[in-house]
Amino acid sequence: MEPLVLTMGWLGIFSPLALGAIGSMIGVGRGGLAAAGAMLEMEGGYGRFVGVAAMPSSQTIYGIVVMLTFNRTLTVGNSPGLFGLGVLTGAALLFSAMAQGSACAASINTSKSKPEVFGISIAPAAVIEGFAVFVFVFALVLAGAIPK
Amino acid sequence: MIRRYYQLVASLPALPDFRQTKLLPMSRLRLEERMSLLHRDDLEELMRAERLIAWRRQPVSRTTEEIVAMYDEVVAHNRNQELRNIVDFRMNMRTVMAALRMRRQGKAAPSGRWGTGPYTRIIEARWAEPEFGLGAVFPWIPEAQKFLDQGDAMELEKLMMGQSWKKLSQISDGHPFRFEQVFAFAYKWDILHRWLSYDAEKARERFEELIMEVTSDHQNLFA
Repeated sequence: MEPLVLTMGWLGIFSPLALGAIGSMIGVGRGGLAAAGAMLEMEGGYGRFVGVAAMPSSQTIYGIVVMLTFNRTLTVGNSPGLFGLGVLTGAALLFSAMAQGSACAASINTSKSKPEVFGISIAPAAVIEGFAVFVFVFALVLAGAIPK
Repeated sequence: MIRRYYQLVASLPALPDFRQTKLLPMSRLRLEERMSLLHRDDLEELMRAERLIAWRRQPVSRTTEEIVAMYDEVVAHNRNQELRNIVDFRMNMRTVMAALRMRRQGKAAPSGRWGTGPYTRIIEARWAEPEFGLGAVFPWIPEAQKFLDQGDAMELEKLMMGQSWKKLSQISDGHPFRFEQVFAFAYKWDILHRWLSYDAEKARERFEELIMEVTSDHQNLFA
């Protein structure tokens, strides 16, 4: 039983980074494809499209910080807590990065035809980032309650 | 599996309302180039449905049986519900228009296979009613009847195109970056292309074509 519990602990430690990175890959992929498509239509201003497409990268950074914070000597006492917190944090980062990628793609698609709405069109992506930050911050706060 | 077309959709220009523009924002060559980014299955489905949806003249020699066979083929191979919806939308529209034209010519209620879709039997049964009892489903019938009576072929065409444009816009808005958005763009481009081709020089030629359609084509299609 103990090895299984410890394995869950490892899953909890690495999930925020692994799932966050998977989400970032999908999200940046969506935004990047839209940016590449918009470049076919536009004569210039490519840089800002690439910048917007890269927005879902932040979930990987949050995942790294959470993983380093969670990293500790695993025991039967702390592994279940790390598992629950880690997997849910990872899932939230994964879905937020995917959703943010779609929002970034929509922003690129809209501002390609109407450049004056560029700023406001990335607002939904910024709001999604806010949700990822909530998860990140409170995962760090709750990690303090898990025994070392 | 739902395919998403981020690159393709982002590479398409915004289409202005066909009634408010004089310019085609994209050439046919460029459109075909972009459509080549579609998955093969989706491209085939688009091409198959295009024969029924595209806003072009149907050959006068085409019979009702041929139209129904084309419709059956599209339905048999269809995998996308929204594409099916727009095909049905266009075919129902053509069926109602055929009925309006027949009634205007003083013909009796048709029977047998003269159109497609679930409304043919209702139209037959309620032939004498001004809107065939379908006013709630097709609110444009009174306006279409008015343009038919006035012989205003251009306004009638504009009305029909406007209905399709609206339907395609709804489909496009509901499915961002999916096949639905791509085919809605392609069919809206087709409407825009057709509308812009109605210039002054071609007006006379087009008028004769429409007269031909009114008097011959639809009689053959849904005779």
